[in-house]
Amino acid sequence: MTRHEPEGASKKSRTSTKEITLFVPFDVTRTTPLADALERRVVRPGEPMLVLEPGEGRPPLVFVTSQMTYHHVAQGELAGEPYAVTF
Amino acid sequence: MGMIPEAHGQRLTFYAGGLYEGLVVMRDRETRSVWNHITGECLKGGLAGVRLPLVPLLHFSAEDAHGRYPTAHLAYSRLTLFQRVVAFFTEANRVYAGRFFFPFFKKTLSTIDRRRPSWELGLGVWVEGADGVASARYYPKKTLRRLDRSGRGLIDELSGRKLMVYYDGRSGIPGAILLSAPDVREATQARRDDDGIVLDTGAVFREGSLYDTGGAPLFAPRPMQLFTRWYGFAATFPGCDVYGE
Repeated sequence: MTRHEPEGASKKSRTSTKEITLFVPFDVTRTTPLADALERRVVRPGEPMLVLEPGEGRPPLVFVTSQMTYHHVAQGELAGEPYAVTF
Repeated sequence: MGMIPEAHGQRLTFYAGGLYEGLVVMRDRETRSVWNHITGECLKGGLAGVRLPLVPLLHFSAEDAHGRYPTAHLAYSRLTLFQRVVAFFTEANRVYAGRFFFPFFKKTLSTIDRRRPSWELGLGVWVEGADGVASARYYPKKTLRRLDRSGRGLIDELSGRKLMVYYDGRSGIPGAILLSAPDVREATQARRDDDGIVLDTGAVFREGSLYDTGGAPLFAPRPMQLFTRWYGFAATFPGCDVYGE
């Protein structure tokens, strides 16, 4: 794990403000219909998933839980609106 | 959680930026502020005090997600072999073994709430009351599983909002819905049968959706919720309720 100490870090704080560069954020640039992914067995039927329910007519977006355990952060746009998912 | 990553008109780009109370926190590249990844609140930095709008992030199995959201799209990450190995062990530690606390995580914990075992898995639910203050309750997974196996559903009330908390025995994933539709607002009991979870109003909850007695879908919004370890939820919502205690 590579770490570096950013400005403003305080040893008295309960917060450790060292970047965890091991976990690379997921920059979501393209998606595929979940139905297709299930049919092509990209994901298993019982695979744990995280569903972002944005509402207001925007389609739900699904993430593989184990992948988000690695990334911790995913970001992209849904119908032109930005979103972030953290896990 | 899901969030709208904008503050004061500025779009923010997040990354895993440190630890706080044993949890990974986010930082944004634009201001290097530190953010709580569960509440969306900026903890320190130039945007301290700002809270990002939250969007529910729900747990489902892939087939249940497809059943409830037929038009859903999948964001699939092409991990490298090294990243897949890291993901495998991180997820295994989260779901199965999960007894090991890295020292650099532990030293960020200020207090440990010993009402429940630190590593216990459960569903944390929180709702905001009219005063804007969040009420939070933690439901141990084993309690929900026991209720489900005995054929009982769980109807509860949090901050004046009625909700049903359930456990999906196939996927092992718990969840919660708000019983706000007129057809289910008066529900007091629920039981599991072959069709799903049946409320005493006649409504049925199956495959992640709620239906009335005629089989028509009912509006059942989701409260903010997180399937997580006890220590993380207790640290995020100090003094939260624990169901059954």
